[in-house]
Amino acid sequence: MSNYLAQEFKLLWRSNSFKILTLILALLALFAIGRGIILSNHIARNFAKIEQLQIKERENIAKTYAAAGDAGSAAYFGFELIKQTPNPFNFITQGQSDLGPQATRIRSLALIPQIYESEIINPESLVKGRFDYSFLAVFLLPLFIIAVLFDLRASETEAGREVFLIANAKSFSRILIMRAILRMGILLCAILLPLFMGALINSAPMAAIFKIAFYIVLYSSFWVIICGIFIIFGANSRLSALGQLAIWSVLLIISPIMVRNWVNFKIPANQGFALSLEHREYLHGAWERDRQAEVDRFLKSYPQFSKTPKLGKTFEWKWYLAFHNNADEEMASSAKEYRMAIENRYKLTKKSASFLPPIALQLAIEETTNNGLLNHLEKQDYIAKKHKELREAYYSHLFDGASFNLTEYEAKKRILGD
Amino acid sequence: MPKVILIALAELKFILRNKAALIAALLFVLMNIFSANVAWNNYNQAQNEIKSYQNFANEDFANQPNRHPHRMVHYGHFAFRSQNPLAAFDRGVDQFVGNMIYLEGHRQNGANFSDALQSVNLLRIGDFTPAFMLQLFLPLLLVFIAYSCVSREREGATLPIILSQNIKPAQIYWGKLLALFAVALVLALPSIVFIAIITKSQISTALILILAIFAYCLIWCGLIVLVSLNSKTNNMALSYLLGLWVIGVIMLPRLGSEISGFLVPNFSRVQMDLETHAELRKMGDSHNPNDPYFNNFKASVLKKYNVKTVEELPVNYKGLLAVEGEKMTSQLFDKYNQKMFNAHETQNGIYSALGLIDPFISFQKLSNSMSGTDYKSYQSFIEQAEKYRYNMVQHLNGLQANALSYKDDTNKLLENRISNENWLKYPKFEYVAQDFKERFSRALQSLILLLLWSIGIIWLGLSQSKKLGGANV
Repeated sequence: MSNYLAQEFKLLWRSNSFKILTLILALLALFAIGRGIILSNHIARNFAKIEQLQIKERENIAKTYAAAGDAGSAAYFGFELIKQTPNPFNFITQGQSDLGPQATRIRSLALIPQIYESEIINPESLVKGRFDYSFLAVFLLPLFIIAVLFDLRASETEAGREVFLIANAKSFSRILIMRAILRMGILLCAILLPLFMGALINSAPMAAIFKIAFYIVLYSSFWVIICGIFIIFGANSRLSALGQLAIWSVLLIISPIMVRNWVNFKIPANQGFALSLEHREYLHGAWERDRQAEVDRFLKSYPQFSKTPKLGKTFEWKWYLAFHNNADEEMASSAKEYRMAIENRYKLTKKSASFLPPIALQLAIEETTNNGLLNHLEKQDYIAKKHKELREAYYSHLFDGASFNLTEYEAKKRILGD
Repeated sequence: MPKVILIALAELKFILRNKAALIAALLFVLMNIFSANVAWNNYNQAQNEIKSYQNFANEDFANQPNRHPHRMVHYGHFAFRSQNPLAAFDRGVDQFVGNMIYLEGHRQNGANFSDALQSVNLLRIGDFTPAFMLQLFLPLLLVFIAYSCVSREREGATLPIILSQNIKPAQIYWGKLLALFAVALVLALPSIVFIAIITKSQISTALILILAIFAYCLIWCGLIVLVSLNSKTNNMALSYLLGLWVIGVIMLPRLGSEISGFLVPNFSRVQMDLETHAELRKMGDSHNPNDPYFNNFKASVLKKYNVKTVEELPVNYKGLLAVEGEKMTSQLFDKYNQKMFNAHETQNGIYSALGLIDPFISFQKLSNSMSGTDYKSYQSFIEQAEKYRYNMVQHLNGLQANALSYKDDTNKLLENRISNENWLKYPKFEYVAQDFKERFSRALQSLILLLLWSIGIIWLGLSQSKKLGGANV
């Protein structure tokens, strides 16, 4: 048996086109992993730079406001940076997270305008998409599989060797299966080895890497089956190539676009505009409303500060922070609705993925690497949580009269999440 | 009848006999019509939404009560991004850029709420528009229909028969090309009609787009005939052409954008904010009574009005300070924004240089530019919104300087409201799409590349076709 395999391997190795295809796949995989590692390092370096700049920024707040004991101004001007732990899987794909903010700074004012802030991204490069590992696996790997399998039988038939092979071997189909396995084995090595190399370099958790490798093997089997169907029906090489390419275009180009259009049509998620407009209206409307009533509304949510003295005649920061929080509360249900719409879009897309292996693989890789759309929403939740911690720390100074000074400020979170 | 036409007719007859090709072509045309329908509906829906929200924002602004002008600076305004109707033909960067900018004092916000961040972006291959069908699928379909146009004659040994009828190789070449080009134009027809309908009075835009479609079709037709006549077998022709399609349409664009990203790295908004603030601190701080920059400013104002103290000024010094502060921050923001635009423009320039080897890239660039959905069109929206923001804020600061007295404005017990007439009659934000000249100037490079490619591929095909007459056929 092993003798036979070795013989088949020698035969395969004589095929220049197979060698070239394998080499190209391996090189593309190395490129995809390499660009991923460079990108991860770039993200980490950028964040380190941001941290340095933020420390300087904080020094300024400390000098100007904290030293003067002005908690209100420190809350107003003091943006805090939210700590990020680098994602060890960024080298595989950035998924959807390349659209969102690379880093986030927040202050104690209303969260809603802050949380939807966009990142500076070159939209032209986004349109083209990334040449990352997940693109290679989802998009290009099937083409390589088709290229090495489409004429598995037809080439023998067309060369007139099929009769000869059937006469000589125990079973022609067994030969074909062996050959398919051999070719797939080599192709998978070419694409999976760089993945493991990248994982070692980036010291990414291996369990997840094995999971991704398993998904890729599973996805490859799907394409082998597609090729197999053409082989079983004895399609000639031309029909196989064109038919399989047609299936590839439908599954990888047409269907994702159709699914996206359909999902977006089914579930509108345009609440963002209305949310922003209404939030601003309520927020600035506070200047027209009774000031004490505004604080009283705030105290309903924060009864622990109900002993705070009534407002005087002039501007007070506690009123300012109170109505900012009121505006967020006022819009909380709309914001939740917006969030739910996005989440539902994701769920519906995932449901459709059960029929469409490429979408399933894409989503599975994004989920495993924590880079999906849901992770973007989770990030927003985390920001909201940190925002709450930050402003509540200032509330105790402004409503409870807890002392605020330089040491107080310096001791508080330098970078949120530390 | 000329021999070229005879060859072309024979080829067309052959194509029409190929049932699979006919079905694929029919599907393509139906998909093309469907995509036009979907894209047009999406465009109108988005456009109506944008318009109605812009109206809401305008009303909100106009209906603000009597207020202190600085309150209005913080209240701000919203600008929504409207589009050229051609966005329905080619969405370009549309879904990845924000649709709304909050315009307020002291800050330059980015455009938020892009479609991409609120959708699941599957595989990021493109939008379902007629342009997408033309750019990606038309070439594939042409390959499918005609990969064997010459190799078939060679494999079936009909080539010597044709040549023996006193038909020159060049005539075979022109005949095949003509037939294929005719097929391509029929397939592209729904898109061309769609362009003609939606461009309405923008005839020159439509003409450039249609010219580019012709060139793009010609390039692919030329490429198919060229490869087919150089291939020994039909299968070889097919695999070369499919390989070229995968490389040119799927792989190179992504590789190109990766390469441009390596050469010109991106930076994040937070980094830009922090750098701007650090630089701003160095320039001066209007809150600091001993700040040298603002002390100089104060001295120059006092000198200008020939008074000794700010209280004696005929205008409100706080308003002047606001005008000066906004001028300072905006200049700095503009500087950093320009840095960002330049970085992106360099990236995009590197990418479009790849159009030299990949006509797909040139065609896509041209189609984006002419449709007003390229980066520069987006940049123009950002710049117009910023200009509006700056003028609005400075107008309000000016009101603070002139309509309020320094004495009142520094009295913390006074609210100092001015009449809402001032916001009621302030002009509305209106985004003006770039005109033909601007868009064309960016499309020109791609157009030239496409035309050069067309000529080059035909010249190459013609010179290669001489081989057909060789002894070894």
